[in-house]
Amino acid sequence: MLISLNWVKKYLNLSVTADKLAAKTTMTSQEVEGIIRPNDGLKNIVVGKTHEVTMMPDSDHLKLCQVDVGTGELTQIVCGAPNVKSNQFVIVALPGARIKDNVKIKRGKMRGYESNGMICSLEEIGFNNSVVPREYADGIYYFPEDVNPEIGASAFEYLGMDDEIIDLDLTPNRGDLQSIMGCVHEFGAFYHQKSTMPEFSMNLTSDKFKQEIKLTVDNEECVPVYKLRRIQGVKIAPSPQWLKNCLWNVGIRPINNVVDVTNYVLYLYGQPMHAFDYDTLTSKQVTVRNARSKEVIETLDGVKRELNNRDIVVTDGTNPIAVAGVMGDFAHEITSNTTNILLESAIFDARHVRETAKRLGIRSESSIRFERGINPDTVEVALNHAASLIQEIAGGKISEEVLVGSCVDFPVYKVKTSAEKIGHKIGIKLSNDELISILSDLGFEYEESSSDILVTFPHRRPDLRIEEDLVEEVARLYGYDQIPMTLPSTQIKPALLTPLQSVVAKTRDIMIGCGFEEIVNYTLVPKNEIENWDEVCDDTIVLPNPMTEDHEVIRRSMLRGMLNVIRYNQARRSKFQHLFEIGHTFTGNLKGEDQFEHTKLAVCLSGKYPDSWQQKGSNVDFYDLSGVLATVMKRIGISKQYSLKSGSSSELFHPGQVGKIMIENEEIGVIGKVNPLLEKQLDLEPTFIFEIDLDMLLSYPRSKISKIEVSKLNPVDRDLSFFVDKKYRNQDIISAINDLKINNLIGIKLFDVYAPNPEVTSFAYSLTFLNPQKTLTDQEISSELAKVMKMLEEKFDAKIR
Amino acid sequence: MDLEQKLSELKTKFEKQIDSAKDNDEINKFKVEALGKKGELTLILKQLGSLSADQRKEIGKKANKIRDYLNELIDTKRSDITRKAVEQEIKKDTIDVTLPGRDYFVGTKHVLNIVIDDLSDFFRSMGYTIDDGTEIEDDKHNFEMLNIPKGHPARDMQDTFFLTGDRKDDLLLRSQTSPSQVHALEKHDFSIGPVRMISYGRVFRRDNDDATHSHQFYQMEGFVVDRDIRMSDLLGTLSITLKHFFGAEREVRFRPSYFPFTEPSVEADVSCFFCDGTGCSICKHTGWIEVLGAGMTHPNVLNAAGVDSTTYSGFAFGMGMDRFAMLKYGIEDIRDLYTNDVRFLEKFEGES
Repeated sequence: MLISLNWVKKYLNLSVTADKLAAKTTMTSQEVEGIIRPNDGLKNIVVGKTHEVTMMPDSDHLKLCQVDVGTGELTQIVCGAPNVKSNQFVIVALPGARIKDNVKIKRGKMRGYESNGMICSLEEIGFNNSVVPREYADGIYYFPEDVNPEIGASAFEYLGMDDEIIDLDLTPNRGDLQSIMGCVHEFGAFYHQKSTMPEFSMNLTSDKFKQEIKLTVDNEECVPVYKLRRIQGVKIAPSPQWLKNCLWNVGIRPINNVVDVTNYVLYLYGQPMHAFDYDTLTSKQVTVRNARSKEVIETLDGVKRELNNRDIVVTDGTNPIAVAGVMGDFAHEITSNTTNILLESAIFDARHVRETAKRLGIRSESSIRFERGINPDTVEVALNHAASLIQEIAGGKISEEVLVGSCVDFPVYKVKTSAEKIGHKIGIKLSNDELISILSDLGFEYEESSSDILVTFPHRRPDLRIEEDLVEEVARLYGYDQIPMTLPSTQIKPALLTPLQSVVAKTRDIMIGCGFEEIVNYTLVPKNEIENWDEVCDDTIVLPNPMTEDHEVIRRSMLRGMLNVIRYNQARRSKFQHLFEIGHTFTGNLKGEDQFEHTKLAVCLSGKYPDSWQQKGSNVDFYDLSGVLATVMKRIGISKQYSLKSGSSSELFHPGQVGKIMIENEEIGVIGKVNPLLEKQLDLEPTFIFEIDLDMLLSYPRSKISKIEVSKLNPVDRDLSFFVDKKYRNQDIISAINDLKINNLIGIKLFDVYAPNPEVTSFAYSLTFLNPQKTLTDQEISSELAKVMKMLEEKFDAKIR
Repeated sequence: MDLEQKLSELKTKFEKQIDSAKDNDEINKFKVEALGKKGELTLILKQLGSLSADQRKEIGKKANKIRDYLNELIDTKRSDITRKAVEQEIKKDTIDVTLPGRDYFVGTKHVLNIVIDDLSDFFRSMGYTIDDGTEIEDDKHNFEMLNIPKGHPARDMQDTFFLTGDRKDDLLLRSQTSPSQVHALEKHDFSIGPVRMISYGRVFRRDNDDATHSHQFYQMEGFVVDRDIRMSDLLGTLSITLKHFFGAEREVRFRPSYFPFTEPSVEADVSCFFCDGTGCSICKHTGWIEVLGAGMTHPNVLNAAGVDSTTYSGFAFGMGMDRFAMLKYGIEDIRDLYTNDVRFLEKFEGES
């Protein structure tokens, strides 16, 4: 939001520098993005007057201009602008001048002709293209007749370039600051300055306006205030220089005198205003109503737009002539032929305007103001001021009557409070005098009684309703930097972690201890990655309106995303990767009461261990990762043993190197080698991954230590080797031995496995026996071992070696 | 030859033998020959019986002395041999200690979790519990109950991923961690004490990813509700938090701001750590860097959750973890936090 200080100073006696004002505004009100000084970096740019202008011989566009720059004699300047003519007051960059982008102007020759400077366009002296009036878009700027500038004087003042413009970054609650008068009130409050209101006068003509036009407002809720004035016999022309200066300094392109006045008033009061060409109204009937579904309007930017019944439109009785509060239509806009105008000043409901503007993709100067609230007190003031200015600039007769379609009373909000109460909420000692001083700076009315004070919020501040709103007003004018720093003096209780939080923290520590690097991936992933490689399930959550295909589905597993990371790093020469992520995955149909979020741990190992000067690194394999899994499960401290069950339905995995991670009969995760097809597709080195559901782990009791016993006796190992059919897995053997509940057996460790022929597997286990109380005899151990051997022979048809 | 002479010869001979011995085996062999049960010394002592009592006593004494002496010689020689052997071994085993050691992997925490853990430890030390929240929320908790009804301009500030429609019960990916405030109020029993909590995690907004925007980022929310919580309590809390995180030497300042769920609202800046407040391109020549938004909990938020706003007051603050990490560690592109380039991840091994 651009605020011209020259404009503000018309109504407020500001003696501080722009820098100080900006600093104060940032600390007291709204953040100032910057201060724009239009003449910054420019110099030696003066007013000149063209005398003789002739075409340069041999050139089809260059002209030789004899220009009076106030030195007493004419100087020649070559100019290529099509619109340069004699007898124009123009902007001249003298030799030695600096124009836009710090370009230096030098005396020179063009095709042999002397050129002592440059006649400038507005863009050449730093104007943004978006504010240059269209009639000057392709050429130099020259002053209109109303300006009689001093030749040779600096051009800046005549162009309003001596202004200082504050760029405010407005918060949505302070719609009032989208106006010069709003800022006048605000800045005045900082410096205890009273503002003056704009003055104007109208010359009214009594006519039959009221009889000639029928105005109806269908829905006062959507259109609480709607007023029209008519001005007849205006002469459309470019605006006077002062008006152009006001507008372009706040970023608005001057169009013509009538439109410019509506924009001027909009900026001055924050009251959007619309002017219709009265004579283009087919019926003399104005109806404000909700649009009909699929009704079409061609807005004045030339775009045909389809409306719906949430939009409010102004109609000529039949067809829409404006999308209320957003944009007028093409057919009824002010043109150079317009003579009679209808001037609209209204309040349209913020929410409707916001919805419409958003849907149509239009953010106009009007819509941004309606969206954030309008001061009901100045709807008619602004209308009258606009009429007065149009009359002053474009002539015409103002109809005496104001046509009122609606004019509801706006509520007045009052707060009963006290200095003590407000001070307490802020944490300061606030005296009654301090409070009253702040209230009068803010221009708020108040009534004092013995113990409290009744404050009335003005209509120009629709953001204020309750006591807390007043607390903020007082606090910011008191100065946030004057408030002491304290800590809450509340009761403190132990801040313990929840079981899930501790498991997450513990798991992270374990993984880091195991040497893994933590990654953080996106929750939203591409749909095709899920469809092609993950378990295809109905309960995958797909975004109804994704922004890009890359982020269309909410991940149900972290593994597939992890592979992309592996690929990314592998492409950057990372040959060995060990990564993990702890995060949330989601499943659900968005209707049921099923749990959506799962907290999971995903882990991967990929590539080969790094070579060293002593040995070559080996490829990582399944057992490297299953060893990590074993460590994690042991360290997390769940009382139940987990086991692996070969196979999985997920296509993400190598069908021969995958296992479900089971606790009792529940699958809590999966571990395996990445499917070689996918490895090929992603060009991955051999990669092994697992994922476990930490929420599920939490449902099992944690292992507990009740008594520590470290035996003084030494354990005894007995080895057992045998052949079995290849269909048997290690886990089958281990489980079967465990099921025997062998006395004093405290450990089973596989130490050798090989296949003597394709039908047979040889396993060799070391069985560890210990009785903490006494030394076991050979006989005791042998008889236990015999039980194991007997079982192996019977159950697995094992051939003991 | 008398016994005394024999002893003396034995001594001389043995001294030579031991001196020439090359290993323990030889020593043992000589030891047995000289001092063994059938050794020379024993033979000499057997002849003592032919002597007078006085002589026997004297020679016996000498013989014992010589035995002690010889034993000592043996011990010395033995340790000599051991030392020499070890010395040789040491010489053989001398290595280039400057060759690199074997890799021993310890992982690294992701920088976002480094930041989160640092702050959550800080808040837990002041009695703030951690509320987990959920990433899928409903409109009611993400917006409505936070004083952001339908049609509120603040909804534009947080363009949201809706999962179903945008009605009250409809689900969305939370656009902020603030819904956890509402959940906390809904379930809190004030008879057991005040609310004092933080909540952190992923939030989602419809932003196109670029160097400074991400459709996914991390927030941490802080929330305190009790009787008589004042604005000065908020400012004090923010001040110590920011000095803890960004450094005690940083200046902190507070400015007015606007959030629908707080009134009054505050934005906090810290003095720029790149230029130390003198003005640079990072702080847009203001000397200050905006780091968080906060405020006193809006009465509408308390009331909507069934907490009497005339009795209770509170404050809330929201911090962008990505922004904190980027500022603290000089990370220039937010996408670096989600690209997971191992070269980036490993930079933080000293911070984990």
